[in-house]
Amino acid sequence: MGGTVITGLATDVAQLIPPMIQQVEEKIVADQIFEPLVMSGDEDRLDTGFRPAIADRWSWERDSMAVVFHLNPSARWHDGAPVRASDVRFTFALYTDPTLGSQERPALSRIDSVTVRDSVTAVFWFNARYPQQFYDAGARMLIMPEHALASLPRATLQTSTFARNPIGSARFRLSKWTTSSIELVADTTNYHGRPKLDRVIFVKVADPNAVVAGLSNGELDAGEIASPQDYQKLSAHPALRSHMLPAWDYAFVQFNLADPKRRTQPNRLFGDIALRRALTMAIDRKTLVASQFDSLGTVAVGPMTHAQTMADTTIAIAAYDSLGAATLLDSLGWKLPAGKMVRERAGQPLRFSLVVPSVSPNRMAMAVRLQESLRRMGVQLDLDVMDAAAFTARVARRDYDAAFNGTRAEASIAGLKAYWTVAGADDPAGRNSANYRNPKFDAHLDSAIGARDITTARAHASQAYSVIIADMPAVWIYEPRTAQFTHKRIRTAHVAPTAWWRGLADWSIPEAERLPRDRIGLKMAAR
Amino acid sequence: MRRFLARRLAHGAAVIFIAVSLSFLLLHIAPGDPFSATLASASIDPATLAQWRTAYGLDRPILEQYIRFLGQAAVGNFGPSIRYHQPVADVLAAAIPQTITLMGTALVLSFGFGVPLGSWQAAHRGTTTDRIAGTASLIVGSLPEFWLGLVLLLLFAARFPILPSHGAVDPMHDLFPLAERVIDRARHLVLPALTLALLSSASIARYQRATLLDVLPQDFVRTARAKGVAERHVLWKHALRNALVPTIVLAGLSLPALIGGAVFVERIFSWPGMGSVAVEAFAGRDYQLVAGTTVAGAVLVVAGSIVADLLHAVADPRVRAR
Repeated sequence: MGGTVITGLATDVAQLIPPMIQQVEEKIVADQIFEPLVMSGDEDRLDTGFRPAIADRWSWERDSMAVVFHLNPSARWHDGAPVRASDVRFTFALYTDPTLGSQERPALSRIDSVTVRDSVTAVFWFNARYPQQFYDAGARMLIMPEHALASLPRATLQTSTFARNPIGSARFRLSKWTTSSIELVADTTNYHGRPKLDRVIFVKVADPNAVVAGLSNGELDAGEIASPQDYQKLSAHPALRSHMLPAWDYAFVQFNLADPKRRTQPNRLFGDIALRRALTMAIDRKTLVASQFDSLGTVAVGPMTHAQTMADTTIAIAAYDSLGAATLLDSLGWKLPAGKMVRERAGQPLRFSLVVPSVSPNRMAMAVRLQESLRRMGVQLDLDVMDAAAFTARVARRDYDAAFNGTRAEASIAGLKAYWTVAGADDPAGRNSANYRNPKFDAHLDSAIGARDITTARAHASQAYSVIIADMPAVWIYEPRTAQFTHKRIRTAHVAPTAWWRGLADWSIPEAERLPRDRIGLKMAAR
Repeated sequence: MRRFLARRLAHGAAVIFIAVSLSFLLLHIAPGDPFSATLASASIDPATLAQWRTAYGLDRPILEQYIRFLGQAAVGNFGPSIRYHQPVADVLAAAIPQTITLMGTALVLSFGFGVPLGSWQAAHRGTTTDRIAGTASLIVGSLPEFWLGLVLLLLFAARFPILPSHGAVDPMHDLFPLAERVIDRARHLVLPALTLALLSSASIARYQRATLLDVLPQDFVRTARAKGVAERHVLWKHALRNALVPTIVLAGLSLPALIGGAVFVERIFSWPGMGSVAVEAFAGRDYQLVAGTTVAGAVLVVAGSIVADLLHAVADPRVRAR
């Protein structure tokens, strides 16, 4: 036992109330302090591979409309209080409270309620049967202590003392939180057994160059890298080991299918699927992605990523064919007049703007590549670069021609519902900002979400993906990947590909390879 | 002197009011708000976003928001930071000392290096070394802060790893013995302070050279030489003392440039100061925190210029007489 792992985080962690987590950095820290009822499998499969966490066993009711979790009777909060079934019920109430705005709330909508059978037995009641029932109930929520939170007003929970002094039940507990670091120490009396490390320190390192420097000079023991140049540089470092993480994000050029000023009217350009097809064919996605990301990116396959359980990566997307694209544009009347660089139809140039968020360097760089690709095809793409707030506001208002959007895929396909269904388009405040409407897609998506077994769900999901990919409301561009580097003296017994930080409590450092900072022991820092 | 101070304070208050009002106005008329400020916010239920906007009063008319904001700002209460979920005063209380430490060190280094260099150049005006030093200071002074910071980072934290790459202290700083803690803090200061100091010392050197060249032909210098005072004494005791008066003023006026530079430098070196906080606040449209950082920055700048005026008055009797 012993050792210290110092990990770099790109942004500040603002609070550690699990239902209010907005950033992956907060999730990384919260996952060391809090734990769910069960741990999901490494591939974040929704239907299998679960391991006990707070719950030591579980059983289904006969009709599959309820699942009973039996809590480990030894489970204790860091303040010594026992973990009770009422904590589970309380946690569900927090996650589903609209005032907290949990990102998990929509996915929990099919859990009707949570009841307490006895102090160590919690029952989740569902209002529908679907494949990821168990995942939603057991693995989606980090359980929180009712005794510490019940008396606090929920509206101000994130500014409460608890938000920066959380009490969890996992194998690390908070020791110190400063403006630039968060220190967790081993909970030596934890009911799972103490972690192999003494302490984990998360430090804010905002600049990617500083992460590279920190990893290569030994200041940092672990960190993520997203640039291919940095990846190559660090891969050659003799003291570092890398793990390539699967992509959960994907980026796409989203067409506004409606007129930005009159939503009931089709877009002057993108209302025509043939034009969308021509533009898709004009873009050599494979070459563009390879040139920008090298091995740290793959071509996107639709509104999904390769890592998703429900993904169907076999559906064909209109392939790059510059000649075919030019012929199609010609046939649509978009001809290149002699001596001009931009195609025209009835005197109107084939020109549109692409809104790009400046906060994403990947999208900024790719937008320039896209602009050049389309220029060669006689299409003028104007880049409209803006900060994140302006970008999200503009897209939400649907006041754009094309937007370089991106999103994080959810483990469940249900996440697509808000973004691409008719209901999302019809609601003026809805998130279907592309104004995409196809009832066939909606029907297949609903069937996939409501299917009782994973095979049926996958079949419907595949059909839903086929519909939307054929409709081409977007050009699916790339899935960026990140590489996680760890110092070789650290034995990462197991690195979960979907969440490298999940097994931190089982990481260890052999006695002979320890640095001075590994030998400090559990001496508490002055607070 | 009291009237002078009162007048400068009134000017300072007006500057702060204008700066804060402008930042409020510009931020509010820009598209988006704190709840649409990250790309991830697109995944939050619109009804929840609307609820949060109501809770923070962002659905009220801008004039009403402005009046409420002024009322709070007047008593120093900027409310909670939406980004950090803490009172703005607490966020600033943690950040301001870090920025003052960084800027103070940079200021001392830049004058400690810039004044002797400029004086030496003036004493050796027209020589090859003067020209080389002048060209070098012109080049260094023209470099952008972020570029110089990155070069120093890659050079001294990655290529030759002798200095830390980020933060104000080691994450295990509190566990070190006292002497090591002092060394640790100093080591972390080197790269960010050096970045700022190199840039400002270049302009201070050029300024000092020019002012000393103005002073050297004056009568009192000629008299000193005629009295047989050694050339070294003439330069460093007689001429430099007089040539330092405008440079003292420059010290106060350097603050805005240093604060501006600190925004980039703190970001590169993850220095937990006001620059880092301001970047997060502006990017996150954290209205309260933006107001807080604007006021703090404006106060520092105004205080710097008042101190410069006072020092000028102390150093130059003609100013006191006015």
